[in-house]
Amino acid sequence: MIERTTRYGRLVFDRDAIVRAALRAYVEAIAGWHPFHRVSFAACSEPRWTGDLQRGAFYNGDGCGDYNVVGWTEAGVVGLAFELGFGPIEHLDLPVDAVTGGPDDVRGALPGLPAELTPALVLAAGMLLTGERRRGDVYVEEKLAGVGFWLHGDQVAGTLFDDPVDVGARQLAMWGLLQGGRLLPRAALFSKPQNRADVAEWARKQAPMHTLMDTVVNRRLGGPTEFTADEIEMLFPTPPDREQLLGAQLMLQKVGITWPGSPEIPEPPKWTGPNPFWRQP
Amino acid sequence: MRYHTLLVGNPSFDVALRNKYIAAFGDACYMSEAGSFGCFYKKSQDACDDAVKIGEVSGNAPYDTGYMCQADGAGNYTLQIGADVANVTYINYQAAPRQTPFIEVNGMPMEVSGPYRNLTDPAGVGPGDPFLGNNSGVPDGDGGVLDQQKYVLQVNRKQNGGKIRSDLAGFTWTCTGADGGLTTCEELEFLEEPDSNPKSMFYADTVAQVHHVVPRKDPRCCPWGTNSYKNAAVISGKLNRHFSNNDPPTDEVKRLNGAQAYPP
Repeated sequence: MIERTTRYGRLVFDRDAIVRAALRAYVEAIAGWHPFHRVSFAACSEPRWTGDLQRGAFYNGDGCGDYNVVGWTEAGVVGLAFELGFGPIEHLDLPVDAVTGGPDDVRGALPGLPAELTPALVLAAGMLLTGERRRGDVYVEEKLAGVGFWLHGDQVAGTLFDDPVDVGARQLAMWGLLQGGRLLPRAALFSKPQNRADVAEWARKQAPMHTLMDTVVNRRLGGPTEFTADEIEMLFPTPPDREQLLGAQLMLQKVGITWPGSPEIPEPPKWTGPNPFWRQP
Repeated sequence: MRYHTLLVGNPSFDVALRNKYIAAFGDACYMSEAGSFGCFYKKSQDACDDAVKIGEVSGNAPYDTGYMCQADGAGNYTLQIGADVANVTYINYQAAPRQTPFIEVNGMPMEVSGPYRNLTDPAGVGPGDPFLGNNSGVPDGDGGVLDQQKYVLQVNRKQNGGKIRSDLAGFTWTCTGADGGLTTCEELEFLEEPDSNPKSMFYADTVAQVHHVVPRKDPRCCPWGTNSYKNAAVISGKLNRHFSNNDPPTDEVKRLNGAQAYPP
């Protein structure tokens, strides 16, 4: 655990706390989904998860084009964030000719990254979206992030601490401002006073749901777990339609949280045809 | 706060001169909402690099090159531009005015007023504010409340049989083809739910996002577009990243302003 005082306040970074908060934010996002609406102002609007609690990554999209990612291994954490218009070319001075479409595109956000954290960088970069950049007659795919931090033992660094321009720094600062093991929605700290008050008020009103999520997440930290019948009743008082329920089950299964007695649900086949955006001749 | 260079002439009124500065210095230069034209930079070095070209770009005598910007200790810089040490231009670290949110359509500045224009804005919408996390004040039907992002998606679903339809379905742009070459992409009609289990390997592209038509931040990372519903459109993640934070294309603004308004 390490503390740093920054323009975003006193930030505390802890590897295990970040992994727990990532898992909790993922579960919270699903509970906040349409049509469940069990949580107002969830910390995440587009949740994605890969790996496990030892080695994994969490993608936290805002549903409007900006996002942040944390990737972790036993050695530590790499955090990266993106805001539309501020990728490595625009903000990290990456030349178009140097774009690889891989983790090296975003190294400029992580000065001094220890070699031990390369696997965490690879996990985090694997969740980053790509942007198309024209290089002559072709496009190249650039990994999109403009700011980052890394945490290794009692060391923490990255452009989050040095860059005077906020191109996603507030998104990353939230990982150093966890409260009660929870990643707060950015609006809880970085929005207008009335809105901050609204977010806090809804967290208070929905405290039983937050307690439920803490209980489930704490159980999961000890190993794969199932919901209890009471928890399902509280999460889904009105049974959702089959497809929506299946979607939630598949998402939670990825993090080792399942329904009572349910066998592993196979992933439905995904569309693997040509890019649907390509105009048909 | 950004680094502001001192331009020569009166580009706020002289359109030809303004266009010369834009051609030379790109999106550092813009018209503010107050009607003044200026060039502002995130990095002092970029401001210094362009400041030395101002003489030539403006059509006046070129500035002398070979001098370095000098810091004044208060965040500002001076740059010597002639043999006399007193012949300098200034780069001032100061608040950058907001870029005009009006988009030029057929030579006329036009306000963005997209298909969610009939929704009632929450109090205090402002430049740079996000839709996510801002209380819409609209109940979610399950005892909670929707933020603006979720409210826009709900309104869209309600009008489209429970699915999310792109507000720019059919919009075309140049993109990467199968071989890395150029091809034409066309915006899909229906998009994936942002919080569903991905249905395809193209999820990051096909997901529905609530797009700020006038981008939330301008190219200098200053607040620009607001979180007013007039400035919202639902589009795919792929098209949203294509638009990035560039000036909205005229075609986009014309289509969205001409679209039927969603009922609340």
